[in-house]
Amino acid sequence: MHFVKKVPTSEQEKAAKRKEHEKRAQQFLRVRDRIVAKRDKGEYDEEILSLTQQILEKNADIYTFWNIRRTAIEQRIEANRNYLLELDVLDEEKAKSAQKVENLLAGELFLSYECIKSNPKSYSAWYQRAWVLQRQANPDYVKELALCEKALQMDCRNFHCWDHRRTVSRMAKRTEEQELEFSNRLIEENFSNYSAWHYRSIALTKIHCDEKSVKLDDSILAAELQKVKNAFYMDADDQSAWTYTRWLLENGSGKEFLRPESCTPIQLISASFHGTNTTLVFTRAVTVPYILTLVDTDDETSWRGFSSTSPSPTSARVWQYVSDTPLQIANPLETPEKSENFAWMSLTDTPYVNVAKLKMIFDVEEPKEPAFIQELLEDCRQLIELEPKNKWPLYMRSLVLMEYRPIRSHSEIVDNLKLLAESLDTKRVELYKSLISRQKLNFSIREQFARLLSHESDELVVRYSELTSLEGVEFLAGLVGSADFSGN
Amino acid sequence: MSFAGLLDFARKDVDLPQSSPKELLKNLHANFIHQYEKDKNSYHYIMAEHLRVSGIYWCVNAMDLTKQLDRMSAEEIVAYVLSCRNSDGGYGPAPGHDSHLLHTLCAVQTLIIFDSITKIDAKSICNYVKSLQQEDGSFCGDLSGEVDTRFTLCSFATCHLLGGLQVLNIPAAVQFLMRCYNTDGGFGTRPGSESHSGQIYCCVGALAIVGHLDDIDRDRTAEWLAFRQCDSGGLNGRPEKLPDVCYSWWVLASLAILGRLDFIDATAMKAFIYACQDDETGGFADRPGDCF
Repeated sequence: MHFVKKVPTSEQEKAAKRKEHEKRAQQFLRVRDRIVAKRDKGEYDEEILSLTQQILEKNADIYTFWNIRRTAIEQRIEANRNYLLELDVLDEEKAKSAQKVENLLAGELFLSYECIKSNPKSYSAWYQRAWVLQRQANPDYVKELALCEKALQMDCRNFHCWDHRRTVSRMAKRTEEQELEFSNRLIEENFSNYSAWHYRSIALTKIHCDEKSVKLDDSILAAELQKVKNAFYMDADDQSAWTYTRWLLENGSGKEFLRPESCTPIQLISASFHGTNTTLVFTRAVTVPYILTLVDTDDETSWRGFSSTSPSPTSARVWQYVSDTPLQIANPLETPEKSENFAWMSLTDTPYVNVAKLKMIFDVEEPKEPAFIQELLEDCRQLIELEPKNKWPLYMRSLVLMEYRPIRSHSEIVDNLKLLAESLDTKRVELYKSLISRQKLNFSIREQFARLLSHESDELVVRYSELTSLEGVEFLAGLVGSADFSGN
Repeated sequence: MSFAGLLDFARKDVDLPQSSPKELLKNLHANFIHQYEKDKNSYHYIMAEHLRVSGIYWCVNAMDLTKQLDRMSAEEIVAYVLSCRNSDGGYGPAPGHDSHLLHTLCAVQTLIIFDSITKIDAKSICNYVKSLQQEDGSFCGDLSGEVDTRFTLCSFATCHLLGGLQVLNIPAAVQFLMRCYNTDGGFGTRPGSESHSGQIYCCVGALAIVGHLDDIDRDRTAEWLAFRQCDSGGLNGRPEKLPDVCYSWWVLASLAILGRLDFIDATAMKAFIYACQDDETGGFADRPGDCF
């Protein structure tokens, strides 16, 4: 059981408990049998409401009994609706009938409240609240939001409550600005509240972004960084602040187009013909039906996807079309898909390579650095000096350098990650090694990039570079014909 | 909560007592489960009726893993699971209870373990699952209408095990899952919900079943999971929470699916799991020293 300490008990105590348990179990079985029998006969009357209430007050997780209550209530709502349509009934009587339904719904909120008080993590009890609010004539959202706040004061990480709040604020048509303000308040009360920071990141995205972009302006990123740095300066061990900082860093990243949540349209990285197959590489994973919108075939069957976790993925970044004649692709430089005025691009002689994107993927050039990045690097440096044993500032600094100074700071990045793996955070050695591996791979590819582009030789050589993974190499499918990874 | 417990709560980790078990007490656990199954009149057995078929699956699976499945009364269990079928094609946790996707999956899993899958009508089960898929691709767990990414895994796994995945709208379901993906690499219950290890297991598992794992940044998700390991070696479900032995499963299984088991310290994690065992009765507590 969660949070219950094991304590020794005497034989006498055990016997008394056993007796009490036996009584309660028998009582439960009696009531349960009666409920099920009534339900099977379709008797959704006052008694079944009272019996289910009796049990749910003690155990709110018996979802079947909530289902029974909802059926009983729906029947009364329906009966009331029909009653209100009758012509020969006095308005006074109709009002009474409607009020009865409202009382029933209010009672349901009270029952669910009692259940949540004794079990704040009951999925069923929280769900019942949202269900009732959707059926009340005038739901009291102010009261409901206050209840959420009260529950969050008792446990600021209760995700059931956060989920419920999201539902209620949507129903109450609260603005995202109001919810952002709410997150401000909670973060001020307790900066180590991952849930509140998460809520904030969603609100900010909804305020400033649309379906075309999830990127925030630099000015907002800078302002958010000011806010979150109070938190990591106060406690540099707190993951909430660092995760939020990481989000700000990645949100402004030039490699955003590779991320799953990106709204940037998916693009071809390369398309190349290799004698027996045409290989296509995309910025993000795609499925065959999507690819068919870009190529001169309707054949769905001759495709083979490549993934390190599945021999035959449905969705992948790299696809091969098996055929000894090359495919033609809708020219990515003109229209990205087969529309009215598109031109085919032939891959017979030269492959298509999206050089600009490849340069970003392998850090061939460093991106422009916004001013707040400098500040973040400096903050991390200060914290590293103050707390040399703390993994977080060193890791964050390394992440920032990987993003903005991968060439200039290559050796610092590798040294930092080695220090993390070898002494500051030995639980996650392989994680750091995989990051070092990627930095070294990028380093090596940078050195060979011009040669690979010139088609002089299509052999990729990455020897003795402590590679633990070849993740990332797949982007080079259009440029590389063979590879030498000896000594890794 | 004791004062020591309060301190653990503040520092968000626990100590492993010196006297903790240092190995897996397999037989003790098997005895514990065996005893639990035999004692059907016990208070805890009766009061957990609404969880039963799921509980049966976990018990049977543990007995299977410890190679002691023959100690369980196979016929009786299979008959019981079959008796939980409702007219909608789904299975409830116990006779008289409504069908639910979780118990439907667990019923199928249990019957497979006992080599009895031919005793059920796969088609009606898959149609029950299909009936709970919503227009946006998500799934309700039962007739209540509650939507949660947990139920997407239950649906995919059930239909996959029965060879009936094609009845579901997979592209829509994947699209819904991706709406629940967070920038920290995790997944939540619904779009906008905070990342949670249990939810990540469900979503990563569901994506793996339908070959869509590359839709996410796998290493980013694996990294978030790796940071669930606390200094004690135990794993927590979310950042800044206490470790709990149940997450050894949710986190580890997710890392295994992502091919990144090596991202955490396995030796330290095992020591934590061993320390959660009750060396008198068998069974595990959420963390060392608590009741199981």
